[in-house]
Amino acid sequence: MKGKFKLSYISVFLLVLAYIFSAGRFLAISIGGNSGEEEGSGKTILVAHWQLEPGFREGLQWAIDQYNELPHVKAAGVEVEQTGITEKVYAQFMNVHLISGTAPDIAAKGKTQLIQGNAIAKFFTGLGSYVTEPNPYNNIHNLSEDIDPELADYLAKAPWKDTFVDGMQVGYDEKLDDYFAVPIASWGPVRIFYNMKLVAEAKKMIIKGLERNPGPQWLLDAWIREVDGEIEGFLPNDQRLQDWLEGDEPPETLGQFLLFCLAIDAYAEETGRESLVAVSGSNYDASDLTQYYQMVFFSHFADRLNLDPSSVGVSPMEAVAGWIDGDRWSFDDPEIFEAFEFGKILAEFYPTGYVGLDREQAQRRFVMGNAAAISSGGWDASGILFGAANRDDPEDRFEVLIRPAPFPAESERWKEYLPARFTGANAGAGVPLAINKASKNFDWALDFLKFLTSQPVNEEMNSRAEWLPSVVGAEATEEMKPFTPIVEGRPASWSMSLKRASGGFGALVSGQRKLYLDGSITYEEYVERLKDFLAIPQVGMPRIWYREHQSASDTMRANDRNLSVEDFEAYFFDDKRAEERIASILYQSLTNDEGVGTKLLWHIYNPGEEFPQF
Amino acid sequence: MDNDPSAKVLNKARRKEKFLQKSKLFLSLYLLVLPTTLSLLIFSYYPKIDVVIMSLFRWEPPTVEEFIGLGNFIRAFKDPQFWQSFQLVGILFVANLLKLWPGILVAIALHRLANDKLRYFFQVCFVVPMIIPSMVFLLIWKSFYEPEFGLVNRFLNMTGLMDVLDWLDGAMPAIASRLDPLFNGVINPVFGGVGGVVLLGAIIITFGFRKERDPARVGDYLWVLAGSCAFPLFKAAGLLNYAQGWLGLLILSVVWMVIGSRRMPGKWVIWPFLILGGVLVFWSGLMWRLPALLLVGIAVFEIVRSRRDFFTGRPLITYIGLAVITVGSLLILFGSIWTSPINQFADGKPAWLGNEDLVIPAILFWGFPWVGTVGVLIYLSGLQNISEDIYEAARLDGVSPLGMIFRIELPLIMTQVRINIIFMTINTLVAYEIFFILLGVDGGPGNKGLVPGLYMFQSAFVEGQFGYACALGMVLFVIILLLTIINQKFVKVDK
Repeated sequence: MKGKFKLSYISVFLLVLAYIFSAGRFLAISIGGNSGEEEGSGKTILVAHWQLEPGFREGLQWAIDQYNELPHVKAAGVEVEQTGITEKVYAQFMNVHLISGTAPDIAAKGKTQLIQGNAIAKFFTGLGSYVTEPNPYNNIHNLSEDIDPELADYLAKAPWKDTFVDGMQVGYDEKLDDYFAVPIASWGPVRIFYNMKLVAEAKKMIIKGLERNPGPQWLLDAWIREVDGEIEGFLPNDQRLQDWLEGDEPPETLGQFLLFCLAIDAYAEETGRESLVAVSGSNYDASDLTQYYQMVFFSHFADRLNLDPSSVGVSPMEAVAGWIDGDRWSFDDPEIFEAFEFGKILAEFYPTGYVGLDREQAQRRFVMGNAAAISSGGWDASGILFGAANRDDPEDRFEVLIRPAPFPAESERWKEYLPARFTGANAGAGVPLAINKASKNFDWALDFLKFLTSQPVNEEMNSRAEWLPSVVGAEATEEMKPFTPIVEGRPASWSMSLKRASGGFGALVSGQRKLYLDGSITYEEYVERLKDFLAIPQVGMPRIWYREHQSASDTMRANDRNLSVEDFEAYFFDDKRAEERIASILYQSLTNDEGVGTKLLWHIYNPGEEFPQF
Repeated sequence: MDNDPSAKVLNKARRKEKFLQKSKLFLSLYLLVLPTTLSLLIFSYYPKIDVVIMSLFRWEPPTVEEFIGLGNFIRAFKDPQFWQSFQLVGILFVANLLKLWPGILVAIALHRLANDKLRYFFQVCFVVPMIIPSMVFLLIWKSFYEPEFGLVNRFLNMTGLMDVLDWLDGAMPAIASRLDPLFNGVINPVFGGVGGVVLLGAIIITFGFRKERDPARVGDYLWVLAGSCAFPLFKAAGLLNYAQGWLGLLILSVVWMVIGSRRMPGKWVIWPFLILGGVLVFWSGLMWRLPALLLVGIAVFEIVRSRRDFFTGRPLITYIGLAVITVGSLLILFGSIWTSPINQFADGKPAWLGNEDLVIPAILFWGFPWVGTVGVLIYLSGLQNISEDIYEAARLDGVSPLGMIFRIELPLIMTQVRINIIFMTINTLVAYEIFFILLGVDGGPGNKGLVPGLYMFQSAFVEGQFGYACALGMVLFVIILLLTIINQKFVKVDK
């Protein structure tokens, strides 16, 4: 009917309005983004990263706000902004934007495959001689008042790269002999977070159990003893245990830790708290202690396996080949067998179906008081500490103490297989930020990075973020000090990893291990399944050998390509830096053997047989 | 007058004028379509063409891009992990076919609402969930499946269904063990497995499609039997151990299909798929069972059709086939699926995503009540096109409301159902996000959730072998294309 108002006109109007609004906003941003070429007009420096953990963005934002308020920055109309991208899609985000040339001015280096090998120079700017100049923001007048005068003098005068805890190693590319990224924080290695309320309850349970005669079965099961030639239990009832029970500290040895787990289970049963578990495990690697300890169990074979002279550690291929072809180790070796036995024992203290739980679910369980302990790295400390301290009901809040994962004392089980933790001496700083080669604001981006990595700013930023600082002289907060790397220990390169073997074998190892740990398959079945897969010609061990050789050949060819390019630049453009890079690449190429080492190893393990070809 | 030169010139001028006018119109139409076409070519077709090209390369960005011809495809065909990943897809495909029904029934219910405003209200209610990103939806379901705090277990415990599951955890394995003698004594030796029983039912139904019991049928029988003997012959001769053997078999199969298309235009298409299904079912056993099953199917057809005509015989043959399929399905349900206790229900906290035996049920149950917004709207649009006269005529004929669904509504929305089946087929084969989010990149415990899409993702983004992932994608594309052809051929749209 004419003149009749239809409701659908409203929806059309809203649709058109939304379109005009979004199109207009798009145009406005596009036009605003294109300006800034001239001095004095607005420039925006975008910083992208994937650190969405609580605290980090807030800490970084504080630093950004401070920088934006600097007089010379304000005068130039420069503004820094950050954008956090979720880790799951960060690689795809960077891949797309790097290729299209629209990547942020500064981005956290990593995740994307496009920058593997020497390709980082294609997308990010080398910092060259900038790293050898002092950081102007470490001017002695800017530094913290309580800093040691000698240190202050050092920070003011030392090359920028030498003001980092790791000498800016995490941003250094060996092949290109240049620094490409600047670390602004340190992640902090894996530690165990303890709910101290539950630690106290566990100790009470143990003391109560010790006073009973006979003690409860769970306590009797904890004492180390020999039964039919097999070692059972974890620790002796000795003075060390008594001293620990009298104190306030969380478990100090592995035996005490396992006893603590048993006590928590007993406490849960006694109090009817069905959902309480000892350790909040999940499928997230850092919260799965069985993987942490397994690496140490697996570190006793390096002398028999590391036959490739060009590499320091044991490669996954060497590990797998050493088993299936070389008989250098087997799943019957006590170190390996006990690693899985230990994993099974520890996994019993995890929540039901922990392989189906993710990182957030594990942390939520701990923060809700339904787990006595959780392991993770420094990047999760802020969230966990905040969550535990800010529960709605004050009675639910609890103190959290952070300690390194404990290792067995002399008289405890597994001492010979777990002699010491891995050293943190080679721990590097983290969150390396690199400057995009396509950025039109290199100078300002560099200036911002220098600001961010000056001692006072880095200290305050990481204090707010509750992360470890990356700069020498910057103090960590009390809560974060337990994450300071421990220098004493075994080299991590001694360990071997089957999970990182190429092809589907890595996924198989991981997937079948979960079945073993939850009791769905036996140890023999687990080993048999791995063997069956490796026996398949197309995807098994022959493919792994082939891929290893191919990878070494590819690296060699990539080096040769780079040498040619640098040769060209040195010859035609008289580029002195190119000559330095040629020397560096040539030196690096001396350790690339184009897969010859792999073939030699094949012939050692398979004399007279032809190397696999596909 | 026609020969008059001036008339010829005039005609030519008229034709030219007409052509110019049409060209102007067509030109403007083509120009209007050009931007969309260009965008489609650049952003949609070009990447796909690039996938085809890169599947011929060993492509490992950023340093390796080496032409290797069909190397990736040969590797894909010999990759057991890739083909094993189709097992779960097969299960999902059957489940998703059943999951189409809630959407259809909801659309019919909406369509029958007498009140327009109420119908509109419910339609809006169905559309609103579309604004929730699928990632959020997946994460919500992940929390539902949490053993201790998740909604699924809490609901099951509250309603007592957990006890039912616990009881089934004892009863079903007991039934399976009672069926063991039947399996070991009859099913496995005779049919090579319960898959053979289901295949027999499908063969019987397919034979029943034949209208005429004419002499030409003998040639058709021989054609089908010849096709079924090719694989067993090649396997027995050891030719399948060589690439040349496979090539020979492929050429023979193509020739066989060409002959079939000439003999039975339009009706031959199902046989290659049935024979392929038979090969997969009997691969690890005695492949001669396939021709034997075909002979049984022929025998059933001959016996029934010797006594009855097409109109009474075909339904009987169909019922026989359906009965065999039902028996096979029941044997699968009671004898092959839940054969040992899972031992997860007693404490009321089954780990749906953390236990190898519960992962697949969890994936199947995901998305309950399986009423997809897009599906409902598509069905509803089809239902709204049905004329009221048809409903009136049906009512006059005494068709019940339930009968309306199967005799009127369902046949008349078959176009929409077919579209949804195509989408469902494609999604089932290529989907990986749900498995990635719920189970992780390795497919969860025992790699149970490893589907082709996830395997492709693993190959590309974990292994860095993008070229191989492209080849896997191409193989998936061919499979989807074949299934779409079946869908087009056999999901009849009968107006």
